[in-house]
Amino acid sequence: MSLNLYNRIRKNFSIRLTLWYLAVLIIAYALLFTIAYYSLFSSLKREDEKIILLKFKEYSAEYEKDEITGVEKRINAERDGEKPMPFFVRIADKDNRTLSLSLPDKWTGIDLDVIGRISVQNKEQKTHVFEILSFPLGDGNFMQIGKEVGHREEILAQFRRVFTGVVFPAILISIMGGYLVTFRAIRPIRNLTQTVQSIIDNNRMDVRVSGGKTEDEINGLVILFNTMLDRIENLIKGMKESLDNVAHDLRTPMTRLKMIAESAIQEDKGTEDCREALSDCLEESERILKILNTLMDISEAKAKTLKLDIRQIDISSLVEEVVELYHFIAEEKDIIIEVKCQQGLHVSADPDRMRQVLANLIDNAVKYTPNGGRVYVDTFKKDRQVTIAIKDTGIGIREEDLPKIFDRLYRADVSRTQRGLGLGLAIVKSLLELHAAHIEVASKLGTGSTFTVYLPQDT
Amino acid sequence: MKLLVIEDDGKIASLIVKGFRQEGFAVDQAPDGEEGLHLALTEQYDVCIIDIMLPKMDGLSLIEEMRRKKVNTPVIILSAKRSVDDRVKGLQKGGDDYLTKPFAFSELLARVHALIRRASTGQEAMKLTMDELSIDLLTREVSIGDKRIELQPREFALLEYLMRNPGRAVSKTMIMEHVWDYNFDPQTNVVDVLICRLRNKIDPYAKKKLIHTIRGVGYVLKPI
Repeated sequence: MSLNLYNRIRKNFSIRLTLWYLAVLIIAYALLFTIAYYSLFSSLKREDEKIILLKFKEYSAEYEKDEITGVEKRINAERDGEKPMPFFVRIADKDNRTLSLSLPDKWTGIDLDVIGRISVQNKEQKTHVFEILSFPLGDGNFMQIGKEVGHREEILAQFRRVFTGVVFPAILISIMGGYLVTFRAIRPIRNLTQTVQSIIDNNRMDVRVSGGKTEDEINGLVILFNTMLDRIENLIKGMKESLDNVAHDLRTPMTRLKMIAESAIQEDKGTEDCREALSDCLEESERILKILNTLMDISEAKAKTLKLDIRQIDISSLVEEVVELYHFIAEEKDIIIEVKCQQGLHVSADPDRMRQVLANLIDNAVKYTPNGGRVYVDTFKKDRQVTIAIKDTGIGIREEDLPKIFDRLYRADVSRTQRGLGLGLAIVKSLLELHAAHIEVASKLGTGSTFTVYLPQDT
Repeated sequence: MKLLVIEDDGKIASLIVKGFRQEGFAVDQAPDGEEGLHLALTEQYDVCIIDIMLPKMDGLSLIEEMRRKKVNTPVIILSAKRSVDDRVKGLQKGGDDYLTKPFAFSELLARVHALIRRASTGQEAMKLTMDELSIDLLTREVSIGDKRIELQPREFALLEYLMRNPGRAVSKTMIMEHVWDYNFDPQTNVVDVLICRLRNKIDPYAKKKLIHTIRGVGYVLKPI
């Protein structure tokens, strides 16, 4: 049972925090009490000593006049007065032999050698506290004057009673308040725990931690956690979508592959026909592989999980290099690629990915430009951006098709007379977005299209 | 020539082994990392073909262990991972070449030949010949019989690559890699175009057709 309780306390952060808080509070109260008690005590003691000192001055004046007789006379006079004589007075020589002694009624049986605070019990069993001071007299004798200080003890006792009377309720209120405050303070953390637990239990990513909007440390954590959940949910959604897409996009070529193989195996065909079918299969599987790789790239780029090998690259030489790749193809089609490059333009980008982007765009431009046409590649700097404009004199794109050309597997050319996967512009767009760059297209049917890439320039 | 193939997929392994035996290689085979390492350390091989994902001991640790024991047999890594990172990691651990699955056998064959050539030739041949076609690597002159042929640099690079792999099919990817130094597929038909140009320059003078297309595989240089 006690072990159980201990474990519960250990596990309950609010209780633990409250207990710590309580310990600190008790120490603080104890310190406060000690200081207050001590200063009260010493000020009372000083007050008593002052009274005794005044009395001594009075008596020592008498002593100087008439020695002991003078003092005794004074004491007797005081004792006959209205008030009972409250002081103990003793005059002794230097060997501590009593020369004169005057004792109030209550002072019986005290050891005269004791100087300072003495507690005496009289017949009524009441505790008496005395303060006795010794003063030297001029002739080698000395005088002791004592005073009952019972009232002092009473004041201190009163103080102790008041203090404990105040402190215990204060501690109780503090415990309750402290527990309430910590309980409230860690409420966002409890919400967090519950949310995580419900995600684990229900396999659902759409729950969020409820919490305030203020930007303190704990709410900051809650907001960050929710942001992280958003990010993870998006990522999972993206992956699921791309998986669906990949499955969908691969089904068609897979079906083709299957049908080619099937028809080759069923009919009684000669070796040459079988070879033909196998070659078809190889080409089709090559195509499937390309689609798979490109789709993976697009998905990874969209989910921002594609790793880029970012370097400082000279964009003009990269453009020239890619144009050179298309040199032969252009020559075959009698197309002239005109390149205008502003020199010394640098961007931070993954060189292979940039090549891929440019190759796709120039490939399209050359592909859709009729024999004898022209392709213009213009690289320049504008508004802190490196701009690459690729203009063809080809068939152009219909206006209603323009918004769709960057979609996956979209091909404006319905007849599909040109080779291609229909993924080129989709990968271009997603790769550029991964580089914090963007692409625009302008086109006029029959005149040609211009694709313009905007890359943030290095500063 | 003796090869070691360490691959856990039985079908792939048997196809590789069969292919190389047909090409006249002696081939040993191991289905897991531990057995593979044992063979690699005890026998002499010209090239090792090692899959990365292996039972008992993965391919990268195996290569590391081989290199630590000072076995410097050239290694071709087979992997299903195609990211640049994985490629770099494989080559850093001591691999000599990296091939992504799925791959064509012809490509693996060409790469094995390239590695053997790299390991054996201290003295690089200055002249390559095939039938009546010959190229001079130093002067970059190409001739068929007595007829001199003028080639542009890329055309020359393509012909040189084909002549270094006589009778063996090379894929478009391999040509992209060796002639243009592109490690990714720009999805163009530039290779077909270049092959076509090369044919147009050579075929009129050759008695036999030299550059052949193997559909779905690639191109091969052989006199038929």
